[in-house]
Amino acid sequence: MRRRTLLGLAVAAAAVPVTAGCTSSTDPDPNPSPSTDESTNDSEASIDTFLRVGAAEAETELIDRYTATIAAHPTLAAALTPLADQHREHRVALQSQPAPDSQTSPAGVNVASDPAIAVNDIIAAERAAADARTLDCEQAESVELTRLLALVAASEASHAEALSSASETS
Amino acid sequence: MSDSAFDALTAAIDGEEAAVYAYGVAIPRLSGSLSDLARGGLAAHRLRVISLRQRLPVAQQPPPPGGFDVDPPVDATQASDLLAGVEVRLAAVYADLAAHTFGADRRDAVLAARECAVRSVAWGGTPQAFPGR
Repeated sequence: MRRRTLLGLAVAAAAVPVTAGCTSSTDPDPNPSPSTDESTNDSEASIDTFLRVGAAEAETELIDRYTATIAAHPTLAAALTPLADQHREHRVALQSQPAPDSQTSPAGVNVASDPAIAVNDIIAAERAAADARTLDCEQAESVELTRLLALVAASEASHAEALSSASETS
Repeated sequence: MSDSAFDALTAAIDGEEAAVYAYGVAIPRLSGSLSDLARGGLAAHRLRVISLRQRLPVAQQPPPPGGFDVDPPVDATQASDLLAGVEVRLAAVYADLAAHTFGADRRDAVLAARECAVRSVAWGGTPQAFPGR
């Protein structure tokens, strides 16, 4: 049971920034722009809005790919459904107003007839999404969105790892 | 550096020191490819500790840990569980560091968060929508 102490330390380390993050929206901008006029504030807000919209659309594309792949290869459902659900969590966090899945049609996704290739295509899409969110992160203005994009990038990189190691052992 | 940025950086240093310690107690329980994976992870975390500490004057750095009150894992399963947990929590610490840094430091923090989340899954952890949160 004492093993928990080490995990607890890491949790405690994580808890500090979480608390800091909750109050940071009212903190002064730690990296003030050269200009402080209102148009600058507008552009900062619109950069984050732009990044949120683009990242949410990318999540929808990933969800569509998962949905189409599960439809084409029902035996993959157990492995893929939990990961698809995490992309729905990403999308909700990125969107100010959640959109239902039915808003888009997964019909546009071409799914390989070989399930191993179909999974490989998902792995490639996850890695591309993780890279895109990493680049988004560098442009984000708010603490909250930067943290969210970093977590989404980490999650998507871990999805690729999970699918890669599962396909190696099967 | 703002107080919140300083807190995020010292949290990352503390988390990396904990990870180095965890790998140290886990490695004797691992063999074969898992041992190789652990040695790679240990080397990565050691480099991160050095890199993060270099961003602070020595007087402002958190002291090196004297040790951790932790039962060494008795087998490979416990060792893997320990490392999966430490890695996923460190991913969240790095996401917070990313939020409080800019430019190359931010990119470095995001890549570190990704590496930690990937290693957590490699150690048998379940992928999470928001790793460590």
